[in-house]
Amino acid sequence: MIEVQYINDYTLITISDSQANLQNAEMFRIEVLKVLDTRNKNLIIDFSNVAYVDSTFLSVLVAILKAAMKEGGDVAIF
Amino acid sequence: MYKAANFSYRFLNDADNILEFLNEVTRAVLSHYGEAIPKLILSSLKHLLVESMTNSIKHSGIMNCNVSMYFENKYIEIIKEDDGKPFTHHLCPQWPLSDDHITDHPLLIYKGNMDKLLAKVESPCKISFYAETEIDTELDFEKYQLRNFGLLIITKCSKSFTYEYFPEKNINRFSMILSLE
Repeated sequence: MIEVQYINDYTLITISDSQANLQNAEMFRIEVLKVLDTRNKNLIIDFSNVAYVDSTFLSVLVAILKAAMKEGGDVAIF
Repeated sequence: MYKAANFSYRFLNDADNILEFLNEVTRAVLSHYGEAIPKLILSSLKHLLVESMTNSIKHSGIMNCNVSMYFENKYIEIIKEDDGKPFTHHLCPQWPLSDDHITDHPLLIYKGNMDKLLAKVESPCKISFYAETEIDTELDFEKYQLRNFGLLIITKCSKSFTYEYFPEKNINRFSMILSLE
């Protein structure tokens, strides 16, 4: 559900699904936390393919931001 | 007097159906109001519906819910009904609410870093939600809760948002008013 590109100090994560909701939120969390473990701690998440985001997915984004900040990183979305 | 809905939909409680539902609603709204309807209002309507359907999927415990929409000049009324599990919270654990739970003080349903979601008890079977902004200067993620965050989103998108339980038929009714002004 995600595509990952490493660009200098940043990791660009593109969500390929058209929906960001309770159905794929947990899978997204697991995949992104794996990415966070391996390389850059600064993440840029691209939502341009996504038609809508629900509250469950937003909560996962908060969890990811929390994990990134603990490692000295940050998260940006667009 | 009975009022016919402008839009009715039987939603099957599956996240895969949300996008199709949103598309159907958007078509009906644009057909009624025309393309001039502000994008911000359409966006609020979508957020409100996404969270309503997500709430059904996560908490109702049944296969579907019914959505009715009434298109008025100054607002859209959205009613979602189901006969699944009633809304529960430790401050309103059963319906009708017992005397112990009926109070003039608002019930604190959710608290995050920026907003509080409160509920006013209107009757033993009805509460109305409202939000208050209270910004903490320090960002503390531990204060973020998962549960009821969706209800806060609905409340912030709506002019009014109520929950009513009808014990004789075990019907849960969530009513939302979206202002068009």
